[in-house]
Amino acid sequence: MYERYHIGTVVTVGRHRPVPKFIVRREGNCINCGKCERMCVYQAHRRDPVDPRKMAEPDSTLCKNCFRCVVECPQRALSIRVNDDFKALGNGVWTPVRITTMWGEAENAKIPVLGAGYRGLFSGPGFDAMWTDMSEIVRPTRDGIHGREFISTGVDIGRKPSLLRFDDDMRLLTEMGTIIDLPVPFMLDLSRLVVSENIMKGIAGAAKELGTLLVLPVGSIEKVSALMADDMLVPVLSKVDDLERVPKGVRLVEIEGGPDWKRDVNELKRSRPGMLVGVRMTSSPDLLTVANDMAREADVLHVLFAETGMGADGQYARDASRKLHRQLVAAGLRDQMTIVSSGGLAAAEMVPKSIICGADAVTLEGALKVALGCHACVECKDCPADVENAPEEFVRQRVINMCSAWRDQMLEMLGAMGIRDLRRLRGETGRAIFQEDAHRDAFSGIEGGEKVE
Amino acid sequence: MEADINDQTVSSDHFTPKVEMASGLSKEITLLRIPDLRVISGEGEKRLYTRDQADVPSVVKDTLIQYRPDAVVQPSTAEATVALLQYARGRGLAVIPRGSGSSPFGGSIPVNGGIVLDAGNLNKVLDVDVKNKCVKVQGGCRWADVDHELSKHGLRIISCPSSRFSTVAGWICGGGLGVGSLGGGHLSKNIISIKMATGSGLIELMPPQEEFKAVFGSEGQLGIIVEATLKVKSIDSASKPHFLLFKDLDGAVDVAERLRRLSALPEDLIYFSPGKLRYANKLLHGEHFGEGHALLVTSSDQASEDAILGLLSSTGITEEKEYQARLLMHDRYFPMKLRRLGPGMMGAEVLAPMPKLKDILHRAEDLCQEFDLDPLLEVHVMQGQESLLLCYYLTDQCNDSLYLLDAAKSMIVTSALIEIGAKPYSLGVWNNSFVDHWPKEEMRRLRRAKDKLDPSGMMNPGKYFALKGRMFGAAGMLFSPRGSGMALGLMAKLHMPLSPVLRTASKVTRKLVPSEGRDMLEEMVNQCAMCGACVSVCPAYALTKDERVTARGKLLMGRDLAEGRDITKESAHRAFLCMRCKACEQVCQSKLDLIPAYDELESRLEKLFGKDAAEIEHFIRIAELSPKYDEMVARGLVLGAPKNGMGGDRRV
Repeated sequence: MYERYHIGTVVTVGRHRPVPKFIVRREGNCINCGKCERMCVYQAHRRDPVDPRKMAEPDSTLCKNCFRCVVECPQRALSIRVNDDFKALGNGVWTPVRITTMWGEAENAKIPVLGAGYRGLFSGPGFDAMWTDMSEIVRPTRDGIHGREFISTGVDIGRKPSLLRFDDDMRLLTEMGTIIDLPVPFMLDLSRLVVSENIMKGIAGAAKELGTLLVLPVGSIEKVSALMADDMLVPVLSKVDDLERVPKGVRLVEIEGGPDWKRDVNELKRSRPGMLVGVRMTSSPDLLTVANDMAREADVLHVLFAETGMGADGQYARDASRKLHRQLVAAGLRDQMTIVSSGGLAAAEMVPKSIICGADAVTLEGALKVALGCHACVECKDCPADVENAPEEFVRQRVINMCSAWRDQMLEMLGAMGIRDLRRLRGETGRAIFQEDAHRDAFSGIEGGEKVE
Repeated sequence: MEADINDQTVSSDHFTPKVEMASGLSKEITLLRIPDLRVISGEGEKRLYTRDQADVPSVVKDTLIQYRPDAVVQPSTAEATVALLQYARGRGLAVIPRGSGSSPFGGSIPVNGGIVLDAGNLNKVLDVDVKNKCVKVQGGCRWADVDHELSKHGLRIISCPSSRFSTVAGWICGGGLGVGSLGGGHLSKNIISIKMATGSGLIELMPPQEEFKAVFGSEGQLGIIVEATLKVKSIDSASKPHFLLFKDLDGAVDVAERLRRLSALPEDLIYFSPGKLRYANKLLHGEHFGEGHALLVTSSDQASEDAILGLLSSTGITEEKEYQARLLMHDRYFPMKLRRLGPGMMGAEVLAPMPKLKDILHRAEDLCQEFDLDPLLEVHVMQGQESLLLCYYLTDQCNDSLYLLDAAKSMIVTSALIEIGAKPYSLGVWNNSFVDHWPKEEMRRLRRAKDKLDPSGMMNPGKYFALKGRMFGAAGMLFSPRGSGMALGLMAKLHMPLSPVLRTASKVTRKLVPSEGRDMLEEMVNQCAMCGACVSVCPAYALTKDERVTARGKLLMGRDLAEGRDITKESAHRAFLCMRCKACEQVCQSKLDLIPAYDELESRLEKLFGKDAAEIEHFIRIAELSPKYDEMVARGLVLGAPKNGMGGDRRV
């Protein structure tokens, strides 16, 4: 029987007051006339519930910066300014807007709507220097993406043979390896996060609800084994001997890629035939030199970027992934190996962008913590959101909510692109505009039109 | 079947709070169902009509007059006014007209019960005629409201009383001299016509009718002024105030004499004694004005501006800074500010002929010195020979005996000044002793008009011609030329031996009643000038027409509470019907911190009577949606509020 993929979301309010983007201030010359209350469609202005004759302090967290109250106030007693605490949120690609957007997604599982105009740059580092082409959006349906025909966000993990061979009796000769199909192109990844046991459990619960894989250090398996089936776990081994601690049902393990990666992979495959083996490698130019080789041996290549979105050489995932993808395509090896990309994924759109740049799937790391209220500070100390003590159920639901919102955004994008299957997006750079291409197209023929850095 | 006598016309501009059952005369009038007439039935609300701006010591009031009205009504149309008057005439009841209650002479309080007619809701500006420069207003309009309406057309009023929150009709009846009277002349010169409600209907008065002249200063003896057409003038940007400082009084008066004789008359000319500048400094918490006798002269147009500057340069007088002049000019409208320092102030107001001004001023100074008073003297120079002298001094209203002594001093000062040629400004109740000094011709004219317009004598009876109160007219005896008039005259003559006695008595009482640790609300009610400015800007009042919701009403309720008087639950709950818009704080001339006082009063009332949260919420929601409230917010509840939009018009 066909069962439609569904993620169960529940509105889950954060444990701490969100950091509002705008601070609405009411000055002393307010005459409590109540005009702002009638004007504000977001209910940021209310009369004091205890004494309705006075206006309550404005709730800045509800303000969408529409300025209606400021314009309408007969006393000019209201002002709105950007909150300094908001500007101080996050670091690098983890911008304040992205962090608060993720908080919102994790709270109500809805696609975020940002408005009141955009005054920023149209490009930035990494994934911000590419724009997805959504030309089909000219005729959106009345009932949104959910009313259209089915769009698959599923991806397959494992080796895909480029051709099938049959014998004379039309019996399949090609040996089919294990394929893990996931309903969403992202796995949840604890391997590089330092989090409490409750958070681990919560994230495991979320992975179960989402039906996706949970990547975790081999030492943490016991903590979550009661919550998840073994076949949805992806233990990360630091050495081959760790395999002893891996339960039998596990379908994919990852091993840290050292100089002896080839030997390790072969040893693991020998020990557990049928189990997929992945190699974890930090993105660097060296990776390209071994990539072709790796495609012949390993089933999965897990490319690691830092949370800055950059590899060891400072190259952003956008460029590093494209090079890797193109090299493997050129060598005819691309489908031999699944590429999973991690790090610096700070917004929903970065998942499809990673895939356009050549990854098959991604893992979510820092985003999971932000879903819990993390401020993505440069340094993790004196946590303003007390993330460490987040209860398990809270963690589970917040992560589910955010992932659901991210998937919905992916559906919107795919629908707008006219693509019905996410797997077709892999390496589809024609579905995106890259900043340098746009610059070249616009300015190359113009005298003196060279881009000045 | 008993009809619900409290039903009100349902309008979006009206909020009906909890019903208070009417009884006696109030009920009788209510049952007449006169349209556009609100009958005040609550005892607490009626109590507000037992007094005016002055706080007459209750000992005096209680024994002498029956100042409690039998009923209080608020008409909002001329027709309702006539209907009420006809009813009163038929029943033989007295009608006491009242404007905003901002005069201190008792003209609007009953001396023998009767119906108090609160004309303050006849407050519409009916028609502005830009071409002919005139405006038709209802009698209960406040001068500030008229001026505001005019300013939209580039026009302004010619003169107004020092309290801009007094009503047009009130000033017509009660004096007609004030700010702007030098350039504009007496109010009677600037009124084109008057429509008056009498027991026999509406009549129109205009010059040269004798009755028209008689209306001015008539203190409501003739009828209720329901409409008046005023002359107005264009706003002139050349008009500017000048502040001059002199070492001695005589120098100042001499220059004033020359200024008032300029061919292009200044709009306004005021003399301030050094005391005024001292108090002004104290109130502003800084040394803004120097020491000396001051003149504040305001030009009305370019011609008078040039004339003033010409006079100054020819006499070599240098004027003080413009900001000082503007501060003082603004201060003209807030003479009661001083009460904050007392708390409370007392004073004498007389008309002084210009030739005798020096003598009268010296006399007033000397008398105050003898009585150990630090007076503030203000002389408003008028067209012709008259000038209006105000002599104010601080008193302590929390100290009953001191207050009584100071009140007596005020009477002595007034009588002493009248002795040497001054005239009483207004009679009311308390100045009745000086009725002998009222111009005979005016008196006869008024008598003739009264016989014609109010033959039954129901309008404001017991005053003016003969003061009659309780105890077989004891008040009449006391406050009559023969009674206190003679006594006061005698005392004025004997002030030399008397003054040490009064001085010592004052000192003793000051010691007996300490000024520290007083109740906040009681202190504040005495600082309150009772000028009624808060009533005219209060949106809650606009919706309920009930003065108990205003600052003045609430402070008086605070006093009643402190004195242990009975307050009904309905009355108490009225105090909670407040928009917290702070308009009252902004217009308050005593600059009282009213909002904290409301919080305090409410917490006290809540302990005794609880509060009706549902009514408050309902009130707020009704108010928010009322067009009247929107209009008030648009106009700027708070004076000087910045306009919305960059320099543009206020948007609502």
